[in-house]
Parts: sequence; structure tokens; C-alpha cells
Amino acid sequence: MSAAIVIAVALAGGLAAAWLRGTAARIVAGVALAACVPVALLLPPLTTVVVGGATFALGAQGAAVTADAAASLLLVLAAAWAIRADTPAVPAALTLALAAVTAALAALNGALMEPPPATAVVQSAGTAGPPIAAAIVVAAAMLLAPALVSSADAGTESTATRTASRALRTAAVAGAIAVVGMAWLLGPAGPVAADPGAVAVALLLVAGSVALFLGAIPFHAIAARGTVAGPTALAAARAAWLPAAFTMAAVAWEQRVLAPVMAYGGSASAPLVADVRDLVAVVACLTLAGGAIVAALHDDLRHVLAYTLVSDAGLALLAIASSDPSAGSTASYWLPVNAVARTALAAWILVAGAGWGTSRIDELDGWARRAPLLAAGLVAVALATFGLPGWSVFSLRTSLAQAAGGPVGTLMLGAAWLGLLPFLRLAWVGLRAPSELVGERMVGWPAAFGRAGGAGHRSTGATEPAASAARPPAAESARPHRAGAVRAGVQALGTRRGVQLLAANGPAIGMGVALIAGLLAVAVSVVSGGALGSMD
Amino acid sequence: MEPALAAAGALTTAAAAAALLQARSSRMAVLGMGGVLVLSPLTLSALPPVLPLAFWMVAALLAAFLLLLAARGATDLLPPLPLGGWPEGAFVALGLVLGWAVATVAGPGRGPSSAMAAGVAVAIAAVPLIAFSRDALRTAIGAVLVLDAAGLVATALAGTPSQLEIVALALAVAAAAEGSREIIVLDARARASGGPAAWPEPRTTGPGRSDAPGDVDQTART
Repeated sequence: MSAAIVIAVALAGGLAAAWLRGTAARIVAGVALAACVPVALLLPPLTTVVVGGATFALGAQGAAVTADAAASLLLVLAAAWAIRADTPAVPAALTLALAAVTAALAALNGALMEPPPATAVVQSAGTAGPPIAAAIVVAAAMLLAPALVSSADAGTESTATRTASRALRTAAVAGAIAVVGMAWLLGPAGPVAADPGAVAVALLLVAGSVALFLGAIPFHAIAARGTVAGPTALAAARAAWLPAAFTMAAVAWEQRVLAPVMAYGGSASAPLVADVRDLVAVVACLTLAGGAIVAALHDDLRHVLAYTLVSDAGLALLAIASSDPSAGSTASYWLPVNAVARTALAAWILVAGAGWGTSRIDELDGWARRAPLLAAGLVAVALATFGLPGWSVFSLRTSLAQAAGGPVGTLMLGAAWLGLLPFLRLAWVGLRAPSELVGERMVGWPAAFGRAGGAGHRSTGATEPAASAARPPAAESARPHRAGAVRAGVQALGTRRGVQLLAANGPAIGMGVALIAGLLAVAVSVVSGGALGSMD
Repeated sequence: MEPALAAAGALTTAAAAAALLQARSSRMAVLGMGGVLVLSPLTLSALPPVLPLAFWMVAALLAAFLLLLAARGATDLLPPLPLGGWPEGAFVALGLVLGWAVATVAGPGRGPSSAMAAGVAVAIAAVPLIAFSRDALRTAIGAVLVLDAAGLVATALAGTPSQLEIVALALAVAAAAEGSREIIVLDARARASGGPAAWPEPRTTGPGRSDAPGDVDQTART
């Protein structure tokens, strides 16, 4: 029952937010996302609900993933609200994405408890879960595609519409390929004894669908354009959480269908299957290294985010490519942890871009000197993504990279750490002498402190078109406030002044939220990383 | 269900898919898509239980309704397909035969061969719509058809799917239609406000075959 409640809360919030507009939509979506955290954590796990003959449940791990997704998406929504960078589609889209991720996890968990078919050639339980989860994720991706148009500038709607249309048909095709691939080794009575050719085709289809949905090379351009064209606040939900759930479905298929069939048919060591695995591993390696290098070289923050997410597709594909049975489990732990970290990165990029009104990295020289909160946030995001030796995220990334084995494994291990390059470049740029744009404002300090303050926020619309909305005059009048921050805050509670202060301190609040998002991601990668994601 | 009835279901599904490729009117194309979706369950050797079947039918009708709504706000004349429509229809017929051949080769122990035949035919019908069409509506129809084809082929391989699988696929079909509807509406709104069109306007002369019977008043309407 727990899964149904979480899904209902998120869906109701999403639908209400889609119906409402403006502040009301943000409040409803925020309340729904916030409510999902305790609902996921407090309700008894593994209570099930049967829908149409299939079991639907959210285990302890799934509940933890849902709670972390809700918390991190809530922080993105808060950051977007603080800097006035969200578009009307964002609040509803975030909650709908959460509902889809939860539903997919619940389908995987619930289907695991189905009794194995009595007449199956190869006994295997839960074969219905992966295609159900994939179809749910694909449905959500197609519903979110129009949101890519919502942040388009005047005159660029046609490009955004084409991008949204491409995203929609890509999701449809990936979903179709996944459904067929996952059925390839099944018969009416369960998994069938298949020859190596059939196993190779099934593996190729499922890996191809993952590559297409996640935007691995050669499909990277479609995924990257979608991330760049759409609202940054939505990027993590669209390009990190949904792909994570889709990959978990593919991994579950590999564990529940492919592995038993291969063990039964003795095709585990067949050259044809090994060739397919090698092909997928090469694509994974190219994607991992290529995405990281392009992310490091790009001068636009949104492209950095887009190609960082493309790079993650490489590691996810490795879980499919590897013949090591533990790679799937490792991936199902790593995927949600990484999605939390990428959500924090999206929040950071959202705030950094809107704080100075530009998304050009070459215009942000010295940002770290002017915005220490933001600098701390970037450090937290980097730590959450890569971890330190002894942290679960560190060992998960390392084990996943080495899962391919042989020379490809060694290459992958190197490529897995190339993802640090964009962070190092951002840090290097931030420590240089402040540029004219960065130097003229101190965006990292609240206006109530009497500094130059966030009220000087200049929105050019370069990062988020909605950020170009002019600040209300009341916000400007709040700038020269001389009282202490605490006293001013207490006095302002519940008054119009409070609203003015909030509006005036948007960038500072946004940076605080981005830092909290980073710290949450660090906490997930250190404390609960090892407990996340397991479907077994 | 009798194999003959399932075969007839496959034939009519493929015929609806071929017919929608000929349509130059957006309404006719959407109706063709609705026909394909509604007829698809008839290709199964055993109909699914009533509840998921009803869910599928509602999702199919909803998808058609949503795309009809979208088509109402946009131009009713669709641009021609790359080969003109009839060759694509012939490929659909070939797909039907190919599907049956594949199902025969796959042999016993799999699902109904009529579902494989219909699935391959619908998939072939979806290819020009998804890959080559120059308008949002046909792309949307292609996205819906490719999901339907996947469901049919999966059924042909693994037998009648579980109830929740049918529900999930129906959700995906409805989501494809709703997402497409919103994209089409946004595109129409951008055009109305003087912005550039995401897709080129349909040609009304030359190889556009707007001189085909029944297209005259559609052309006049645009």
C-alpha cells in the first residue's frame, strides 16, 4: 500500500500543479514533494497492493530511493523558486517524474514477489516487472517532453518544439525496443531455453534501448539538446531520475531473465554473446569518456550539465555490458545515488547561471571568490558524485567501471574519473581574478546583511528565460536594510516585509538551497548509499 | 479465439495501418490510428481479461480523442509522405506477410502468429511516420503506433501479457498522445504569434498529391 500512497500524493500534487499557475502551483508541488519524504519513510515497507493480478509494492530500499528523490527534487524546486527561474511547467513536471520513478520501483519490487511460472523451462520470478517499469518510465518521459518548450525564448519556439518532438519519439522508440527485447527470451510459460543468437539479439535490443533512452553515443545529441533546451530545474528529473529507473528495469531484466536463460542454455561463454557485450562496452567507454571531455570543454553551464548526464549513460551501459553478475547489483545501488548528486549539480548550475545572469563559463571568472556558499556547494556536489576512498559512492563507481574486465575495464576505470574535469575547470575559473560581470555584484550574501547583496541580481535571460522577469519594486526597496539579519528576520516574519526580504535575497537563498542539495547528496553517498537501489 | 478470427483481426489491423498512411486529412489519419489501436487486441489468440481490455480500449479512444483535439487547432492538410503513401502501404502489406513468416519460423512455444504479423505490419507503418514525416501530428501517430507494435510483437513472443503490462502499455500510449497534443498545440500557438514553424507547411502542389480525390476541400480549407 505504501507505494500507492506515495504515487497518489505525487500524482495529485503534479496534476494540481498542472492545473494551477504561478505561486500556487509551486506551493502545491512543494507540499506534495515534501509529503512524499515522510510518507515513503514512515509507512510500513513491503506492504503490497495487487493491481490487475500483479503485485505492486515498495520495499525498504525503494522507499529510501523515493524519499531521496523527493527531497532532492524539492530542493531543485526551491532553488528555482528562489531565483525566479522556474517556468510554469516545472512544478508539475517534477512531481509527475517522482510518481513515475516510484511506480517503476514499485513494479520492480512487486513483480519480484510473483510466484515463478510452474511450467517455465527456466524457473525465474518477476519477469513482468521490467517491461512494466520501462513502460511507466517511458510514459512519464513522453508526458514531460512538452515541458521542454515551456522555457523557450521568443523566436526559438520552433527549435524547442522540434527538440520536444524528438525527445518524445525517442522515448517511444526506446520503450518499444525495450518491451520487445525483454520479451525476446520469454515464452507463454516463462523464460525459454534460447540459443546464443537469440540471447545476443535480446541483449542488443535491451542495451540499445538503454543507450537510446539515456543518450549514449551515437544518440547523445538528442539527449543533450533536450537538457539544454528545457528548464534546468527539470533536467535532473528528466535526464537523471527517469534514466536511472529505466536502467534499473533493464538491469532487473538481465538478472531475472537473461542470467537464468544463459545459465540454463550454456550460452554465457558463447562468442556471439561476448561480441555483443564487447560492442556495448566500447559504446559505454566512448560515452563515458567523450561525455566527460565535452562537458569539460564546453563554455556553457547547461551544456556542462547535459554532457555530464550523457557521460553517466556510459557507466549505466556497463552494467548491461558486463558478464559479471554483481555489476547489475552495483549499478542498481549506484544509479539512485548518482541521480541525487546530479540533481544537486542541476540546482547548482541553475543558481550559478541565474545569479549572474549568464550561463557562459568564460564570463564567470572569480565566481568562487564572490560566492563562497556556491563554492562550498560545488565542492559538496563533487564529493557526492565521486566520493572519497572508503565512501560507498567511490567504491560503487570503481567497481562498476572495472566490471567490463580486461583492457576495457582498465580504460573504463580511467574514463570514470574523467568526470572530475568539468568540476576542476569550474573551480579553476572560480578562483581566478573576478571578471567585470562577477566583480560588480556580491551575489552570495543576503541583502539583510547590508552588503551589495542579492538584490542586485541581474537577469539577462541567458540561463533561464523566466529569470528575466523584472524584480518587483518592493524587492529593491529592501536592499538598504540596516538591522541585523536575525532581528530583521524575526521582525519580518509574517509581514509584507518578510516577502520583500525573501524576494530581495533570492540569489542568496538559492545558493543556500544549492548548498543544502549538495550536502544532502553527500549524506546519501556516504550514509545511505549502500542501502539504496537494491531490488533483491 | 478462433485462429481465423485472429487472422482476420491481423488483416484488418494492417489494413487500418495502411489506410492511415494514405490519409491526407489529419482527422482521417487520427481515425486510422484509433482503428489500429482498437483492432489490435483482436489479433490475440485469447482476448485479455475484461478489465485490462477495457483499460486498453479507453486509452486507445482517449489517444485518438486527444490527437483529434490537437488536429482541430492545426491545419487539416497533412504533407505527403516521402514515397507518397501507396508504396508505404505496400510495405505494410509486405510486413504482414513477413510477420507471419517470422512467426512460422519461430515455431511453437511462442505467442499467436497473427499478433506477430500485425505487429510487424504496424511497426513498418510507424517507420515513415517517425523517421521521415515533416509534421507533428504524423510523428505523434508514429509514436503511438510504435508502442502498439511493440505490444503486439511482445505478445507474439511471450504470449498474452499480464494485466498490469497491458495497463502500463495503455498508459504509455495515452501519454504519447497527450505529450504530442501539447507539442502540436504549442507549435500552433507559436505559428499564430508569428514565429517560425517547427515543421514546414504542407505543399499543395507538385508531388504533394493534393490533387488526389477528396483533398480538394481540404486544400481549400487551409
